[in-house]
Amino acid sequence: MIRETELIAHFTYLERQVLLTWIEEGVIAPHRDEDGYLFDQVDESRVALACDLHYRMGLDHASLPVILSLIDQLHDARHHLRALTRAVAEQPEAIQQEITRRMIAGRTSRN
Amino acid sequence: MANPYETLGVAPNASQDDIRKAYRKAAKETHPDLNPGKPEAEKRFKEINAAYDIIGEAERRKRYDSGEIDETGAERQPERHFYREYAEAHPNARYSRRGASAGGRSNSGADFDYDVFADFFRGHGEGGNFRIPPQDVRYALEIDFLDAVNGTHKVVAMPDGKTFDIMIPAGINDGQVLRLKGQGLLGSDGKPGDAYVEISVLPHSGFKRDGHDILSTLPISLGEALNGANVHVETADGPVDVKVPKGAKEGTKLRLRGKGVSRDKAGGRGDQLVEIHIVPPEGADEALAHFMAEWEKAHPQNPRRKGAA
Repeated sequence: MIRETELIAHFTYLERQVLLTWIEEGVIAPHRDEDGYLFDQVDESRVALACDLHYRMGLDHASLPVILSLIDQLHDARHHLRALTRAVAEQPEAIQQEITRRMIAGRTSRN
Repeated sequence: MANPYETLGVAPNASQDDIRKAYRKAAKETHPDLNPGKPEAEKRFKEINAAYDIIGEAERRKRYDSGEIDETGAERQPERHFYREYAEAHPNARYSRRGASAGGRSNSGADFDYDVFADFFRGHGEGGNFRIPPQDVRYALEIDFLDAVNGTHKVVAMPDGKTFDIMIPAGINDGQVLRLKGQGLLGSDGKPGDAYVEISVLPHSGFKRDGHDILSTLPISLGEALNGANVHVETADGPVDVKVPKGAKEGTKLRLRGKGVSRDKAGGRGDQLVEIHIVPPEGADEALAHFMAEWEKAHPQNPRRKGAA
């Protein structure tokens, strides 16, 4: 876990005021104690993503929370999918094949 | 590292604005957090970042262009952990909807795209022991009548986005199915299934197929029928000269040898049968009517009588 000043030092562009806005909006949700904010690796990687989106890819302040929320939903979906995949993998082979067959049939019938 | 202009796909004299646009487009496609299903994206993202670090800023770009700094002039990028490394594997109550709300999730899972499954089932990740046999896929393709007769070479995009380079053999029939070996979907063992393309041959305004023969109609005038004529006839190979015999009758079939449909690989072909259709004179006047009346007086004829010519 690192403090606010250390975090800001890790990113060339990041301004303190912008970081505080992100925290206020819940884009970044660090832990805190009586001395201030504490950022773990998840927070830091998320700040890196927010910096890329804002400073390098030109997303404005209003869009950022929207995009990050969508990214989080995508990760949620992938998490559920992984769980589903594991569950399918535990089934007998005949069931696995039937599921695959139906998935592919559903895909080609869209044409 | 490669030339940063090439890495971003911009000309050396591109404006800062163009460079910024090129970077943003490439970053959108390769940022690992925006493309969690593409493990290969990370390497490319790092390359375009390094390139953008050099030429994305006018001052630094000038120094690069004048040779003051080289491709390695980009700051070394510290080992970076992307958000996706945490976000998917470990539920995180602070950022995820997973922990946050329990209700209203009944339809989650309903709109997953197959490609997401394919990514997981392909064998990387924890679902890797899930086996899929190679899958055959079926497509439909419409081709023109003459392409079916003569054979052709087609590059076609299928509705699912796949593109095939297909050799249509000469003489292919409506409803025939072509097999494209190895063009189906991969199984989990990496072996592909086959693609099957069912051919529909579109009708043609002038030709019909009858087995290996082609049928067509040849309209001729009454004069041409009586006196014989040399006329152009369309065939699958283009127009040919045909001699209409003197005294040709309605419904007579002229056989054009070898102008039909390919029968075998050796190149043997069926025939084209050209059926004669006599068109009555247009704009017949008094003089012609009078002449016919006189002529028929001398040559009585009842076409309705059985056995009439």
